[in-house]
This record gives sequence, structure tokens and C-alpha cells, in this order.
Amino acid sequence: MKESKIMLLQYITGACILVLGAAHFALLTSPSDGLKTTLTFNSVQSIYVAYGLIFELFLVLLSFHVFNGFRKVLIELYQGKTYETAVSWIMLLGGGATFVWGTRTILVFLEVLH
Amino acid sequence: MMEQDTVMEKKNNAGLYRGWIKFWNRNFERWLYAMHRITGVGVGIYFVAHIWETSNAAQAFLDVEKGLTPVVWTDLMSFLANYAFHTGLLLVAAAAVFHSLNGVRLVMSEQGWLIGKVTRPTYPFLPSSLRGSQRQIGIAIVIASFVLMAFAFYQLFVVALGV
Repeated sequence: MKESKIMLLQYITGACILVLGAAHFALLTSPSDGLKTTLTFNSVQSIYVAYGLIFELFLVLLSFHVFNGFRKVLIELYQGKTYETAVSWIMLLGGGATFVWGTRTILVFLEVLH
Repeated sequence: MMEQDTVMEKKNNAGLYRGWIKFWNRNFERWLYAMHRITGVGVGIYFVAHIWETSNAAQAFLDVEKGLTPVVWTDLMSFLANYAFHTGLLLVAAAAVFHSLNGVRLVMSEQGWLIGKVTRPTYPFLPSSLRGSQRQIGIAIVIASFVLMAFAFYQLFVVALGV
């Protein structure tokens, strides 16, 4: 994919993360006793069951944005083509692994995985 | 041509210290650039740690299904509920807010919305990109980050730790 298209995706995912991230902060802090309640196991479970699919969307966006961000920062060091290819692959694998691990958590709570 | 390209590439390579970190003696936008990098990397590392952290909740859920208690999660939360970790979370919250808002400024500036019009270069050769409202918005972003950091402080230390 062309770098300009990847950068456009970086901006789009960033804008979506801004909205979902704000919702995530609001969700954690909105009950009357805020963080104290939301981090208990029962609360975490109910949040995952209610918002599991939104979390999955958030996870996709973050996995791309974070690891593509790391990639952009690292390839700016201009260490040559082999270095750039290696960085791109390592970030792809890192992003993929993070996405899979996060998806496992969501699927466990949605009782798809046991 | 190839040789010229290589020379250009080497000349452009300011490296980790001069290219990213050394922002003093530069303008405000250069400071915002460095902070955008630092906060982005910091929040990115936290994201990976957060995925690992929340996977413990899934393990606790599986334990509960087997008739056990969610001790994996409760123990982890007890371990993390202290001043050191909550200070770290406060910095993550501030970094996330700053990175998000500054990202919006960058996207808008790149579209040419917050910067001045291109003019003939005359002394003192101030780039047109440094004119316009983007600098005021940059200052507003830093202030907004501190304001939202105060709310995060309240949640992390007053509500969660009962300070």
C-alpha cells in the first residue's frame, strides 16, 4: 500500500480513536463513585458484555494506529531498505499479536471462547 | 543520481537525539512535535501493557465459570492500586489527551486550515505555516491537557485511592 494511503488511514483511525477513547474514559469515570466501582470484577464483566463489539472496533483501530505510529517513527531513522522492511514486518507481527490477544479477552467475556 | 540520493538521505538523518528529542532552542511547534512523539510512544507502550492487564480479567472470568473466585483480577487490581502506578496512569491520561488533541491540530494544519497563506519570503523569513491560528490552538491544547489531567488526578487519587 502507498505510504500516503497508510497515512490517511492513520488520520482516520486517529479521529475514530479520539471519539471512542473519550467514550472509554467517560465509561470508566461516569458512575457516582467512578473508578472505584468500574474496576471491580463484576463491573468489568458487565462492561465487556455490554460493549464487547465496540471494544473490538476500538482494538482494531488502536492496533493499527499504535503500531503504524511506531513504524513511522522508526523508519524515520533512515537506516536503509532492509531496515525499513524489517521494521514494517516486526510492527505488523506486533500489531497482529496484540490484536489477537485483545480479541481473545473480548471473546472470552462474550462466551464465544471457553 | 543514486549517489546524490544517498547523500541527501544521510544529510537528512538527524538521528534520535537531534531529530526527535532535542527540542530546546527551537520554536513552540518543534516542542509540540517532540511531545507528540514522546506521548505517542508512551501511550502506545501503555496500550500493549493494558491489553495484557485486561487479559487477566478474561482469566478471572474463566476461573469463575469453573466455580473459583476471580482472584487473578482482584489480586492484580490490589497490586496496582498504589501511588506509583496511579501516578503512571495520570501521566498516561495526560499523554493520551495531549496526543489526541495535538493530532487534530496536525491533521487540520496539514489540510491548510489553521496556517497562514503562502507569501513572498521577506525578512525575518517566518514560514507561513507558523502564522495563522495553529499556534494559539497549540497553546489551548496544552492548557486543556492540564485541565483534563486535574480530572484524571481526582479520579485516580481522590476517588480510587481515597486520598
